[in-house]
Amino acid sequence: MSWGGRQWTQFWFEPVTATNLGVCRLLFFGSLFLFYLRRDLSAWADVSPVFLSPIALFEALHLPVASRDTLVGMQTVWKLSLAFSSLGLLTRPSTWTSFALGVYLLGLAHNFGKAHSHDAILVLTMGFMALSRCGDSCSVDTLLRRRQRPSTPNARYPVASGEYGWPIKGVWVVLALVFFAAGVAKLRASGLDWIASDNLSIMILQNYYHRANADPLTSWGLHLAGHPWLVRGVAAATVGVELAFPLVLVSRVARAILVPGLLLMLVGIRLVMGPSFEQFAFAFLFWVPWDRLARASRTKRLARSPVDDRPNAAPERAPTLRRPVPSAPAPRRFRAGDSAGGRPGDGPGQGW
Amino acid sequence: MTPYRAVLPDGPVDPLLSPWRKRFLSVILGIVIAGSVVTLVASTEHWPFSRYSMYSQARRTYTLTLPRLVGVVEGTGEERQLYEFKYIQPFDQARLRGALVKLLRRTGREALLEEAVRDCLRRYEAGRRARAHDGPPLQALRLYRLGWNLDPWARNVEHPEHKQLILEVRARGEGR
Repeated sequence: MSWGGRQWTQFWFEPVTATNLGVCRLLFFGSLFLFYLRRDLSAWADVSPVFLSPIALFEALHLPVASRDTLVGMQTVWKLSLAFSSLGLLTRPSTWTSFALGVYLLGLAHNFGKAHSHDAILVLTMGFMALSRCGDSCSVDTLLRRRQRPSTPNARYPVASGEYGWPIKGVWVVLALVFFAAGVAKLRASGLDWIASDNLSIMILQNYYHRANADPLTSWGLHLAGHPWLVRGVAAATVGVELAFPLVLVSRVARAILVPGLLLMLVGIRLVMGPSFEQFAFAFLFWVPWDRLARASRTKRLARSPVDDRPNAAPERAPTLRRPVPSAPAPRRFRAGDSAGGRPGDGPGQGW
Repeated sequence: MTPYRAVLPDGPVDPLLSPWRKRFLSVILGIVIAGSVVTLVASTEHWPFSRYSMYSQARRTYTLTLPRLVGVVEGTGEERQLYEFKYIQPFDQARLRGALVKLLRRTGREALLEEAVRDCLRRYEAGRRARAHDGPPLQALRLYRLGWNLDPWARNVEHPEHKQLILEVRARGEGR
């Protein structure tokens, strides 16, 4: 394998346990279910065709605007599939249904007038999850499997595998490209004027005239816009964070600084400018090292419990399968923390 | 499910990831990355791939001009700007504005705009009758091009300095 191939494999397919992916599945689909539960996507069926301006995807697949009844049925099934996906019940068909119907239902609105880009990350993430083994942990499917086959090793202990890391890395990479593209677009369209002029102050003020897809949640932007030099600092920080964001893929320090920084930026935008980017926040769930948090919490609980009540040393890592190789010495099995390059990796769930 | 064995050059075995599965996933990931990079480099929009160019054009003057729907209240003739989601749903104000701007640029736009504004009025009235919103009954819906000199505290939102009537659609009797 070439150097590039090894790096690619090491980045995407470093073996990790299934816990992180399972928690991400539960929270991501759960958030989507709650966010879209009361939203009626079927109303697009009633909009006049005069507004119709099909996007390339719908044109290529010849997807029509379905009737109201059909859309009501589709969104009901979609919302149920989101709930099932979150619970990890019939995970594979649920996640595929979520993805397929999500592409249509979320894409439908973009055929009318203006294509927003805030929900594209949701579609790509659902696609990753549909292709993944996200139901192997923290799922009803796993519980049922354990009850049916308690003696089978696979039923009780998900192995460490590259299958459990690549979907999380996929979301990381997409988010990195999204925010890098936003930074590049600003400099390409406006150069340093985007930062050095009154541009951001004007933008903030304009959004108080009901210009964006949602109004600012507070009046703080009006106060902020009155301090041009402060706003220019914010503008510089915004572009800086966006352009630097791809560093989060290779640096733990960058992740610790830029991920919370960008999340704060999205919150700030909602508060002082208005545009609703909540959907991006759902994807930020994939940055959190849930398994490390669970381990730290477990360690604290054990440390606080009386010595006599502590269990015997619990394994830090998930046990792996034992499959003897008939005609060769038994190969070294993957354990959490191993990598193709032979050194501890820096992947999701491991040394984040 | 029988786990696969993927033998890597250094010997370790991933019990769930076969070489074919790895190649398949690599192709999928490569397509997603390529789609994002291509739209970034070519500065195009192909949902779900985007160049994320919102708010990239620098604003240079403290002014704002945009098309906006304004309802004429039945009886009083009072004008009310309709920008809240509950009045224009399923559009939001940005998407509706984008749609109207597109129609304004098309040939034969008068007929298209009339149909568009009539559709907005129809949906407004349907929502009002279904109690989806608390807006008053309208006798007409107007499309204006509104212009503001931005006030530091946005005190003139409801009183734009410039108003250019583009189109008016009167409510039909049977629609009330």
